Amino acid sequence: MPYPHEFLEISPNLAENEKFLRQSFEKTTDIVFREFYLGENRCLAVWVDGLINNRVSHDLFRALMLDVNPDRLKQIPANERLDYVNKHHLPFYATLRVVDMIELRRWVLMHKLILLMDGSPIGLVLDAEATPMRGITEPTLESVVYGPRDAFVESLRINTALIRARLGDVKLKSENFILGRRSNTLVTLMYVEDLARPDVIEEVRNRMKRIDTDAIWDVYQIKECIHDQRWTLFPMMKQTERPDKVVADLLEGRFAILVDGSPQALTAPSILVEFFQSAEDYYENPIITAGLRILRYLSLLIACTGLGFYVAVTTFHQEMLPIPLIFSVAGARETVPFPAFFEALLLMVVFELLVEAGIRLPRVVGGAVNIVGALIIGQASVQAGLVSPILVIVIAATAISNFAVSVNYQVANILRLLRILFLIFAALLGLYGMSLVLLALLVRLASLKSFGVPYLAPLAPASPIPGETKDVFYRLPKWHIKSRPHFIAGSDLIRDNTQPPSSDMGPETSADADEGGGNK
Amino acid sequence: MKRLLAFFLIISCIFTTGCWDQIEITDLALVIGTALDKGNDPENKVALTIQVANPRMFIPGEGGGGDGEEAFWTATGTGKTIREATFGISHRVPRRLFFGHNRLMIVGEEVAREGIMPYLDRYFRSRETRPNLYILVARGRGQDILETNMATFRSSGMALINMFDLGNNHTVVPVRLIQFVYDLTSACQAAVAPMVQVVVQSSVSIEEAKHASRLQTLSVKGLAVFNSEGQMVGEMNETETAGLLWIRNWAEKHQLTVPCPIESAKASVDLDLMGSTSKTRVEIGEDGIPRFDIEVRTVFDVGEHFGNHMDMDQSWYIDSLAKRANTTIAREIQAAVSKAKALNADVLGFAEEVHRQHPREWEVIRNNWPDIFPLVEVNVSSMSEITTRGMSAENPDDSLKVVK
Amino acid sequence: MGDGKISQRQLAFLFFTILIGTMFFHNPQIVVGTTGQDGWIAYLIASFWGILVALVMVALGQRFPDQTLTGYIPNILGKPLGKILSLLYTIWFLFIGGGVLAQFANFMNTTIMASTPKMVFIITFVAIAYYAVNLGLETFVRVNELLLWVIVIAIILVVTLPYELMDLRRMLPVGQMSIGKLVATSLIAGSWRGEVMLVGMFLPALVTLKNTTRNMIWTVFLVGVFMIAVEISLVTVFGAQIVGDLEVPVFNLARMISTARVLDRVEALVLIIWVFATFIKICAFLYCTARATADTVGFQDYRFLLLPLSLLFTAIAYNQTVDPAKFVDFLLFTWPGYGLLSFELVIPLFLLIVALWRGKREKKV
Repeated sequence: MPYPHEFLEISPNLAENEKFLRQSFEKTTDIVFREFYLGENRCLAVWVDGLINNRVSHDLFRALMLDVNPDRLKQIPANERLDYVNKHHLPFYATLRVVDMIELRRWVLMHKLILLMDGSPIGLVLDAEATPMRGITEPTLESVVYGPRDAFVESLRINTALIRARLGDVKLKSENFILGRRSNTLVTLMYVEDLARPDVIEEVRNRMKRIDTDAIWDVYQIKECIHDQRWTLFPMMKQTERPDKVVADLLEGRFAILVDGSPQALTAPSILVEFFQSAEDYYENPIITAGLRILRYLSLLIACTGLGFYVAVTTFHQEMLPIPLIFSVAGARETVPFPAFFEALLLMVVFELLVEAGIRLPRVVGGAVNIVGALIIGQASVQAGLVSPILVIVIAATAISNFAVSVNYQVANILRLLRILFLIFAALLGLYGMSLVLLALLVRLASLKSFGVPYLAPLAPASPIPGETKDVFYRLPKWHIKSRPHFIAGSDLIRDNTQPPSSDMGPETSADADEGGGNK
Repeated sequence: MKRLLAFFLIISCIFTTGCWDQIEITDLALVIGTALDKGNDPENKVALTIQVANPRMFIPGEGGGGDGEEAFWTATGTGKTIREATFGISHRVPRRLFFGHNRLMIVGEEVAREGIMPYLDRYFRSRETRPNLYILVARGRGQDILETNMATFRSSGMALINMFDLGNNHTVVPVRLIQFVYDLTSACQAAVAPMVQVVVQSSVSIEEAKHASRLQTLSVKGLAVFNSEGQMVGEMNETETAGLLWIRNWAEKHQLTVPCPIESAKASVDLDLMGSTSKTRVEIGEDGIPRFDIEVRTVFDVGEHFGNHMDMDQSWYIDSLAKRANTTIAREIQAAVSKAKALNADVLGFAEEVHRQHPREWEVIRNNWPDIFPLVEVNVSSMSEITTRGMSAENPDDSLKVVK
Repeated sequence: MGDGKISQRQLAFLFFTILIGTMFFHNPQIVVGTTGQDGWIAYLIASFWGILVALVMVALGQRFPDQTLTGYIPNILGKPLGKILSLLYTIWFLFIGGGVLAQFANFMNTTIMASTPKMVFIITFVAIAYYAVNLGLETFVRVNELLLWVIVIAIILVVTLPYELMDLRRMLPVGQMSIGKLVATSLIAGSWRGEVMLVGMFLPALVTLKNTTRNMIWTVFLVGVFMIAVEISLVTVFGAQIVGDLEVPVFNLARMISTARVLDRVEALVLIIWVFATFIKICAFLYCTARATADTVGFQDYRFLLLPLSLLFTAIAYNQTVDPAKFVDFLLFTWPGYGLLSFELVIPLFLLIVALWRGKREKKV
């Protein structure tokens, strides 16, 4: 744990220490100072009211005040007594011996109970933490049908525990940082030592140390400070609320960052395609998954370009519509007073308003929004001749596609923005305009790098090692993906040595299996 | 940041200058077919008739606009060129004429007889019209074809498009403009286009039909034959058309009616074509005159037996049906050959065959082809098979079976 | 923002797009127009020219693995003469790049966007190309890696979808044209293929030079295969006679596609794919011009040159838009002399011979 800038040695004189603390916590009503005697030694416990488990503190005082043998204590030199107590009488999981007063004071603010004893120039930090906390619930943004159903909560310890519970690897390391001059937030960096690239870990350490801010309370704030671009539309690090996703990422050589108070984890280096991979893809038949992924990329295409395509085709390339269809489209547009572009923009804005309203509104009123939306957009505007029914279909298709592709909510929001961009350029230059947007977008994406990993990997640059795309547009079975992604992982690249499953049972047929199972 | 600014500056340039090729779909008059005729005026030689869709009739849920509005309307304009004729129409139309969906080029007989060449250029040069539209020749004026008010279909143009999209059978032969031009420019220097005419829908006289709308209909029958100058020099009737389809390997849905092998029965058997291929082999005779061996292989299904006696369960019966089919095919082919020879228009693709199979000799023949073509000899060998006989194996009236 | 290295695969992909990019505009019209249905033989011979150019350029590049073409010319020929030749190459890149851009703008005007001013196409294109090249060689090479698949699929679709109209017998008879005419035509077609000479500017960016020769030969050959497929498709759909008379035949081929009831005319979609190919090509030429300028003048970095050069591209492209007849004349009679017979094959060959004769190679540091 890094030391703060100042340093103040803990005095053997308890009164001095107490004075310092009391001065620091002046006019602070939620700090508890509890003075008590351990035999004849005056002790002081300080904690923030409400953040300490009452039962544990009760046990603590019971242990110290009643169970310690005062005579035994007397035989110990005064300056070692607290250490003795620590070793013999504190039934705690975790205690920490601190010699710095400033650090000790900070521990108080970081939901710990501290213990000082007259004569001992040290302080003890006792983990009796009981921050107000909700229970582990199901993921709300990344819900799945199959697979684990726990999500991160606001407590850092529980979050790290959720990860550690799944990944009992001795190489899984976690490093703590305390960020925020005022908030003193505990931030944990986790990585698997022999999988993550050392230079990447060193880089992230440096970037974390560069953060000099007053307060941090969510992973997103860290992300904004340490990702690779000053301005970027695209997420350069992945936020997730699923511990299983974090574990999978760690095993691919990524690192994870957890922030106390944030129910999400941050993983990087990130590549574009992983934002379109759902956790469920890995808990479902690979053949089904391939279909679902194709569907997802298709909906990505529709969500981005569907509306623009409609405008481009109806105002620039009318010849693309076959004869029966163009009659329907022309007939539907006949009574609409606006140009196609404005019509599309109008309906899209109204739709986006509805989406926003639906998110912000309390659930009780949500139903009302749905009714208003369905009635106004679906019925009244068409009947009033403000928009054509075909456009309503197009808008609905893009909206549904947008939801279908939102494995990651942030990506869904980006698509909403890109849709407008495509729409504008489609109205200006038709399909040519749309292809310009696409080119600019690709150029931008191709230039991005997340912690040294090209954002479009493993597609561009395509990896020289064959088989890196086994988990992009489709997913092969687990035994088939032998190696970790080379562009992310540092070493120990062999992930899987499982023999392909086969129905052979007896040893007499195993010779055939060796010849036939040539999936090496 | 600077880059972003520059980017937006460029975009704003585009915004302020407007969008040049943009046009709202509601500002378009969708042309689905065109007809070309001679203008009455000696100055304005071209009379162009277009058929345009009226989108007001396609408003969903309303099922049609006001009183007397038609789903399609036609307009005619004249000018020195097709383009000028188009402008002659456009000042009467409140929308921009859009030829992107133009699928028909109907040529009036008068134009066809005089020469079609000058009319082709516009269709290849236009950005909107595609050169794979259907070309056809009207018996009479092309304008009349488009102006025909049909009872059975939304418009005459749509009816023709639909008919041709379904592919060819032995009377309706869809010919695309690129095929037509290819034939005209290839070694054959002759081409065909289907003929269309207005006929009366029901048993009313033509005079009546003209007054009462929706009693007319269109009939696509026969082929117009064009010579190397692009002039229509004659027509092929149905038999000759069938022969041409066999020779050019174009036959798709064909139907033959052959007499029943049991002659006393005076019955007819209908055969439906299931598949066919034809090959033409060319041999150059010593006198330099090519001889053509046309080999047609066909597979038929029995479609109908009209009459009393039959032996459908006997293999000799099936065999002799096939033989009769062979005879009919050979007769049709010879009919087509003699018509083509008579018109001296190589619409059968013979010259191309000579060119492909004997490129050296072709260099000699090339210049005299119009003189040589009427002299060529054609042998036909047709091999028909009847593989299925519909859903019925036997005539229900078994007692009438004749045992041979 | 240093320039990263590119892989062999990326180089091969890049040159596939560069070579096939503008092949579509006027090339088939000229080749089929002069050699009829035997155009594919001309394309086959053209592949030979392309492979020859690739061999020469890679042989030169292997002697100077850390330098671009314009960088090592002075090393071979000596300072004054070499600098002049480097300058000539710079100007050549500039003009061919501008010409590609002009062709593209012209093509857009000819096909679907008739009344949009050419300047719009040129400016939007140059702007994005500038943006891409400014982000480094890696960036547009990666973009190409993605777009290549789209381009290839689009070509395959355009070539195969008009199957209803195809008559394979239109390819017959084979071998009508005299060898002389075929070779002469192959020089025209080969001038496009000879653009593989640009590889001289990219070799120092490669991670390793191993297998470059093999890969470039494959690339040139595959482009040839695709062009032959295009030619066959064109001739079987239209007949050789008509192809020669069509403006932008491949686009007309796309117009023949009718997927009936879903999307009627897919040519606009096909067109945006040509936008992609041309874009990569413009990026490559802009990069080459900037590198060549920097080499010739002696600058280390080339990025600051991109902005003025982009403006120059714009100006040249705008002024090169001549009438189409003149342009086809240029492609027929001037382009081979300007391309294959000088800058693409003859001069590099001369350079190689001089380098071999004088024993010049890069000094090992």
